[in-house]
Amino acid sequence: MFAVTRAALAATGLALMLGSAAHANAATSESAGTDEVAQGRALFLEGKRASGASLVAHRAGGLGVAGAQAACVNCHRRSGLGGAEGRSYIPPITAESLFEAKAPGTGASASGRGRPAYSDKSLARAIRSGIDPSGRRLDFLMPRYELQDAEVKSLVAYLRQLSDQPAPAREAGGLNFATVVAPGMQPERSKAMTEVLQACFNEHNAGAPPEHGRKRLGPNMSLREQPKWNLHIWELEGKPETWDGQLSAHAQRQPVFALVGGLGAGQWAPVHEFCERSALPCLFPHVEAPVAGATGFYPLYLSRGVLLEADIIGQDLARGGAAKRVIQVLRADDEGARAGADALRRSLAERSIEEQELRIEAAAPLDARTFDRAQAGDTVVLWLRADDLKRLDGVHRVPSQVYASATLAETDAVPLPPAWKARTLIAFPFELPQDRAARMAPLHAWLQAHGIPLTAERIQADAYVACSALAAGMNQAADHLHRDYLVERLEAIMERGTVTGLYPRLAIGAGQRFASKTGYLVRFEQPQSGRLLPVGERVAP
Amino acid sequence: MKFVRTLVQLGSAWAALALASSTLAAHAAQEHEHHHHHAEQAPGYARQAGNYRLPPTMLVRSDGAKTSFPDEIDDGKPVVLNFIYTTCTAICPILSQSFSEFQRRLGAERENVRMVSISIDPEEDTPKRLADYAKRFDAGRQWHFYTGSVQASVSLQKAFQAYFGDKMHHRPVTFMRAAPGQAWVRLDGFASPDQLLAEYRKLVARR
Repeated sequence: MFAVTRAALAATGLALMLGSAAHANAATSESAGTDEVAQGRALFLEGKRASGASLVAHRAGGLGVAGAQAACVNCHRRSGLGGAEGRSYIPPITAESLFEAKAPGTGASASGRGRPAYSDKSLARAIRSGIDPSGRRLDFLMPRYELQDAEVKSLVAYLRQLSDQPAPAREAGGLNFATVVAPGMQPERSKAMTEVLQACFNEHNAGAPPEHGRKRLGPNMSLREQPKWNLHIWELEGKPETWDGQLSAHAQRQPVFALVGGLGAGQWAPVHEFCERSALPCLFPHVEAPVAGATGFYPLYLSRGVLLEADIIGQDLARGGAAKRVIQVLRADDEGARAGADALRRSLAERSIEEQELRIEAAAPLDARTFDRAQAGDTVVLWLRADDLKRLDGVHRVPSQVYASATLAETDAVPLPPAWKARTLIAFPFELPQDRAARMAPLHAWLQAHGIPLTAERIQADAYVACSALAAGMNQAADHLHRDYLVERLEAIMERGTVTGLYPRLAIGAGQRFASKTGYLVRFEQPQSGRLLPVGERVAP
Repeated sequence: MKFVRTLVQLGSAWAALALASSTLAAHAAQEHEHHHHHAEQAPGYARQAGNYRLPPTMLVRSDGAKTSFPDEIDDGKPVVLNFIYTTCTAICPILSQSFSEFQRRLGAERENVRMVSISIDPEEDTPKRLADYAKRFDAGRQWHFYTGSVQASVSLQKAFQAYFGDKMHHRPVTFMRAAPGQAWVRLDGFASPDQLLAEYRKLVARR
């Protein structure tokens, strides 16, 4: 009875606290105009002052810092939740953290020795003179800013609304995620992806595996309970210009915390832009051509796909020096091929190498006449898929130098005729098959354990990596379930993961959005064999 | 549940202790420097000598040239060296800024020194990105930036006993050497431009 009363009292207290917090938020949002928050945001994210003057700050030892380099976001990150670099701890500066007293041994302000809650006044002092409310000096890393009163006020207004909302997409039934399937994907490929994601979600929802051996917990210990994850599949239809509307409608019907995995081909920009605009993490879709020069925060990719291949080929052509003219061969309606050819054209233009495009109409045959325009000395780049590569059997005049795309071939068994194989170098943005066998074995075993046949290894591996990364990131972000923070944690931990799928190494960081940055040029060991050998080292062009 | 709580408390006490001791070390170094150089509020650093054997390693300079270490830095000039990466947010900008200020303070004398920054994130830091980074810190022609394979970068970090695992775990360290064959001076922590200059002068004076 007593216990119940206490619980009830505690609940009332909590309700009161929540109530007053909500009230305080309402009050600040009333007093803090949207202009003020916008000015604070410009200071925080870009180091931009409303006056147009440069943001200036100083560190001990005579080190000045200004403008974008002085923006809070550099160290405290977009979420304001901070992080760690080496032995340096960057404390959170969300309102929740600042305006609350820290007991000794908690938090990190002044080395975990505790501090009273910040007030607007003491926060201004900390920002300007680097003294915390207990009178201690802040860490050397924290610059001392030259800011006007109004600017400090706008910064505080921004901090008060930063990462203060509970995660959207969290319901009684758990936390919601979605995966996007672009139109035109073969059903079995789409199934290959969703099956892996669903099995991975089921595994997460089942909780930790049964205790055994040394993994057993102590008698009074228990694992933290994680919210269940629900997977929603968003299948897009029709033209790319309508995708944004479809995605918005999906998100309206079913808010999600992040997109995980995904399946597309050459066209992904509308999804990328939707994610960026909606501040929605989009984790590692399987696409052939991510957005070129992606500068967003929320979309993360495993590889640059055909864009990386184009750079590898471009670099090799520049090094060879012999190429007189490059002919790029592609189907007119193939977006993935289009993206690769465009990227290579840019790369060749920088190196003043002549380039022409040989476009084959969608329904047109691919035969000896297709290559009429090619001359003996031309280098030919095939942005073609498996079916077209097989059709080259009918083309007997093989160009002296050929490049092909491993991404568009869709499997490592690039089905070129033997005469072509002998003269072809393949741009290969994955780890070599013989070198990734050991890495892939656990995935194969996992698929088998979940009764999933190995039907599309690349898609299945990418989906597995995406889901594993999500699990690792969510585990890290569990105490601060914010979308920005999930992305920031992934930036920090991605390279520690052991699940790298098709790739030799995965790593991102602040501003890095492609986890695998390297690839090979490979050739066939024998025209008859399928074994691929690297030509030179793995490169990051 | 009680057991868990104790563990947590122990954990935080341990963390607090670790933090406190590192702060103490920093303060000690700061005071030490204060006496010698009158540097105001200088961040602390600790100096020690090191004999590092650098393995033969191929690196790529920001101008695209392939070079072999340690030959590259064995041309007789004094060397000032650190490890950085271009997308680093907190530590490296300060290290690079200190290098930048250091070279400014050297003035014309900078031609006599070889400054070296080696990327610990070489797959991301292409020669082009390093060149842009060099420009951002106004690097003179005596300051070179290097990338290469992950393996090459890691083997050099290990040779300098400055390998801390992945890039998020790196720490601020600066190395100086008066001439080939001599011992390195290792500065752990954030040495200010003035402190770098003082350390450098002391080093070359002994040469």
